[in-house]
Amino acid sequence: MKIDHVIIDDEFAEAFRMWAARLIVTATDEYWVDIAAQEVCGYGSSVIGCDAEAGVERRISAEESPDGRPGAALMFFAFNAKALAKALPNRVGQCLMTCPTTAVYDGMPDVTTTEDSARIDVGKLIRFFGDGFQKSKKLDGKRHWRIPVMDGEFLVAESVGAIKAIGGGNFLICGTDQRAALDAARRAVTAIAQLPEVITPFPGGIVRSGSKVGSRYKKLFASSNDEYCPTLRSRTKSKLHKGVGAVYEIVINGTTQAAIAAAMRAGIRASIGEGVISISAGNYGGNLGKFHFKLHELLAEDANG
Amino acid sequence: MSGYTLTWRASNTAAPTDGSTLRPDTLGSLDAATLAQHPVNACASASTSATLGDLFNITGAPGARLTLRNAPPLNGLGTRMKSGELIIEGNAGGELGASMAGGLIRVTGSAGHRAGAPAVGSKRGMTGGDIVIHGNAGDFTGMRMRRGCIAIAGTCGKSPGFRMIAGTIIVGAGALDHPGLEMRRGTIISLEAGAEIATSGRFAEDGVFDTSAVVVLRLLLRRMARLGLPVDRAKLELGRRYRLYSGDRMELNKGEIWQPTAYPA
Repeated sequence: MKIDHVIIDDEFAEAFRMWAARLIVTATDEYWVDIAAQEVCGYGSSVIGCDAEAGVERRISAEESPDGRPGAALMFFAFNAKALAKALPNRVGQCLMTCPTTAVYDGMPDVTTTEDSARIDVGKLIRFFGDGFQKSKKLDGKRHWRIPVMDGEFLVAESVGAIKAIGGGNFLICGTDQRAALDAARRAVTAIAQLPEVITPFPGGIVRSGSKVGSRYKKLFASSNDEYCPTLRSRTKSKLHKGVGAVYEIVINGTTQAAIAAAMRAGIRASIGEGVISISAGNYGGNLGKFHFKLHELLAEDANG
Repeated sequence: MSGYTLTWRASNTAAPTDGSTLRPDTLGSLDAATLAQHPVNACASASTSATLGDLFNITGAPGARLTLRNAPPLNGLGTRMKSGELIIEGNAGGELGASMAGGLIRVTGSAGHRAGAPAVGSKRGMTGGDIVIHGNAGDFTGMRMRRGCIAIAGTCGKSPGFRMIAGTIIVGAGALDHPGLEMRRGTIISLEAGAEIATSGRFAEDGVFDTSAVVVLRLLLRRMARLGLPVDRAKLELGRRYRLYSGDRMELNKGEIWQPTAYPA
């Protein structure tokens, strides 16, 4: 299969069950929204070593936001609800409460506790920082904690909703060289950023060090994806087409299979261009993750006649 | 939202004093015939209580909204209601929404004393829901309220929030005469810059703040706009600065009174 001149490998992305939560963060202006997002989503690329995978889902205008100030919807993914329950209060307390002018709201307010969803305590835990001076206000059934801080009050939702979601949708952009592959990857991430219900948690949305399961070193459970490393072409079972000099991976986490599929499609289409030789996807043979995204199925309508 | 409309019969000569059984959550599910037979307590100058059908023309169908039209100011409307909407086209008497737990009461005219206060036999006033009064309210509005919101577009009488436990009272106009007297927690907001707030030293001034520094004010102001509180739009502007008074210093000292400073030019 080809789209324009680009080879679409007959591969599939293998993704996994994760849990996701969404925070709405507002601040006095866009600058502080950016700082808050940067800080709270930092060290949030992969649950291989981070407590959560985090990213900006979308920006929120002042008119749309809960308090009439500019904001952003941020999503956090972890292995399970318990892991989210540990990560979120930490991140909110250390990165958002500390950030000037922020307020934090529940981005999934209709979520209740079921087998597939949970409520995660956030403000309920952080309120104790107020040392007895904290107050709360219950509006429309939702409690907001008001913690006195040096620039006024930090307003934070008592709890946030979390749902079963999916992590690890992906595709690999194989280009002639680093510049071409990176430009294509940035086009892909820009296209994906327009879509709801998904994030690309790696730096700038892009992974340069894609991994495989296992390692010759017993203590490591992941190691460099040597089949896609161009400098190892002659020394490994390379999957690289001729002429590929650099590969970048886009990893997509989302609330549903449909959301991830839409993001993969949009990202791959946007990446097609000069200097791109092929598109592939990463998997583990299909036995680890239960969500499979087959490139040829996803892109059937875009393929050359 | 659908529901019944009860229109006061012009031919009525006697008015009941107690409207406390008029609640949308209990009456709204009845069929019209049963509704018409529903007794109304303590008719002022009759030896027996009347029925709704005696006093009102009943139109509409079962639903979550109950509208009273052209009735005299009945006391205790919406007492202990838990859900639904009670719309009073006209004035309401005293004890409006006494010990209510949820839903919305809207009064297009004014309300009497002790809106949101405890019902007979209760220690606590309202514990949830909203009361929106388009006109003025009487004395002791929000007395011993525990939660919920009372929003008044006009003025209110003496001691709004007297012995308030928590919740929110918003007053659109006029001075506040001993607001929050003996309040434990809760929020009272005056929307009128420059109006006198007489607290007799039981509250201390903590300073002036942007609403971006105390974001809950923005949430409350936006909520008032959504609830359709009929005040000048400028009074619900998010860009105003507010002065904070904390007290009652003779009680828990966790209550707050907010008043805007002059609107920035």
